[in-house]
Amino acid sequence: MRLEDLKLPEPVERTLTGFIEAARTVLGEELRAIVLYGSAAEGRLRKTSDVNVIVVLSAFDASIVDGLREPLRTAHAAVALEAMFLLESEIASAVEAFAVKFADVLQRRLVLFGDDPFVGMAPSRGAEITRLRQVVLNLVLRLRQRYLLRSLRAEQAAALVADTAGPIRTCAEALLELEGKPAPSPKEALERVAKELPDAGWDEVLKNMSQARETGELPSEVAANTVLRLLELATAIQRRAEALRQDER
Amino acid sequence: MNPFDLHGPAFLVFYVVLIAAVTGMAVVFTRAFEAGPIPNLGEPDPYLIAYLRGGPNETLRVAVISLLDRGLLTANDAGIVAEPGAVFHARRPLERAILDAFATSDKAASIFGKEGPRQACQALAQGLQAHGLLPTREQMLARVIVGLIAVALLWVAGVAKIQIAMDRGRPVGFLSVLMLAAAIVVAVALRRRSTVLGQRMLEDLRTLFSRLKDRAPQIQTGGATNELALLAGIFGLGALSGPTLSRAQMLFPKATSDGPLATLGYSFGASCGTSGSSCGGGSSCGGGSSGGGSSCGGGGGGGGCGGCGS
Repeated sequence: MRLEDLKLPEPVERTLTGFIEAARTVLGEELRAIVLYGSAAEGRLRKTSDVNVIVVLSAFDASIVDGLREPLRTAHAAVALEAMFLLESEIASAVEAFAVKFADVLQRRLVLFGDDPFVGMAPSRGAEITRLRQVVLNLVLRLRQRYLLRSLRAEQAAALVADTAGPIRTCAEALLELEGKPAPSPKEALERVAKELPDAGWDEVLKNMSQARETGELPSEVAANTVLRLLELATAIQRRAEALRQDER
Repeated sequence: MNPFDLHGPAFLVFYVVLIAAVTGMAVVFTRAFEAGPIPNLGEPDPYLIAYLRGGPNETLRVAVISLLDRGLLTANDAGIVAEPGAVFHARRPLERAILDAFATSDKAASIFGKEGPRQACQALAQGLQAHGLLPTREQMLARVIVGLIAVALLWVAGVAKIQIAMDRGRPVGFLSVLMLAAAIVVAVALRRRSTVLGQRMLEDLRTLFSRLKDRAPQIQTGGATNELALLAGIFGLGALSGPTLSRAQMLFPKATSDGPLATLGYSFGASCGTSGSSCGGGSSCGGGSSGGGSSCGGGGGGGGCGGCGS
């Protein structure tokens, strides 16, 4: 698949093309690969979504990479391009250390330049479980704090719901993958996890979350409650992640 | 049929159509004279874009707001003042000139009358002219000549009809008014700030940065990125959001009250310059694809790798 096949919005496609060109010119031999991942790699970019890329380098030499400062700032401003600069030698440890993130990268990616640096890469099951536990616990702790700080103001609660969508879906996807029941997408993974919970009303919660993500808005009477329901959902994922660890032992 | 034989209202209708046709041809002719491929200016420069869109005063407004955002200028009760040593952090001549101009506290609008910043703006104008984005002296002259020819054509037709009408004892008041209006219409149609190329470049930038405008409320302040300067440079101060917009409104009330017109490239109020043709209207891993970008941090939106700090 090529970048054009993703049917991304024109500014995104043009900015990515321009950034790749600039990176090739500036980095030369140091540039090994540019990989697009996340929702953009699936062609499902929303108006407010970041565009995520991994730039794989042979070395991070300031005298060379400095030339990429302006192009990166421009691309970041134009389409919220978020670039991770990863050395070739760091790939294996990054995949292991940030297993949940890279499990997502390994599933949803498009190589825009160079050879695919992630061929044959896979985080170990132990690392994935450990990382999932860390990430989901972190999510739970943050949600608690931010609920208390922000939920009195509906617009801030809506923004919190929108910000939570990506991480909680990724966690759900990683959980189902580790449980041997992979879902086709992070969104569907979270829907499945929610359906397996005893109480009802999750369809409405997930609908509200999608709405907050797409529009940044939620009715004031539902915003704070949606944060609490997402906290419940994250806690359920956390329990299942802990159970995975017990099983491993 | 000889149009000069048309009576009163019928001739006036014909004359209005003639004004539209001649003006249209004049515009097409001058646009052809200013056309060409959009030049590659490298990475978009917010100040250059602001100049192209709104002239020197708009550029100064954008630069002042950007410097305030970066903390190199601060606003106080007396106006604006440069932070001590701020000039050493600024690399652009325009920024340095503005910081020098605010070495002592002064009203924000005073910047429009200061020589140093205006000269720095002039350098931007020359760059834009060199790239065919603002009209050069020759292109301005071509516009004037084409405009004069267009008005002359319209007036010859009008005078001829007036002569005939007077011979026949008919009134000529409406036609005389229309002749004056014709000159105004031609002048307005040909009086564009930028060239066709400049307009195309602005449209292109507005398309390319449309997502920046969409996420204006989420833009990080504090000068961490150039997003605020680009947003203001491309779309005008009216496109800013939240406290930054409030501050811009307080400092430059007219510029930020233009509303949609500002984003179309027109700038009223104090924007009429004195010079030349410029007068015019957490990347690092963890929580997956979080709101915080390509970081490897924990869950919702945090940077850094690992931990659960907030």
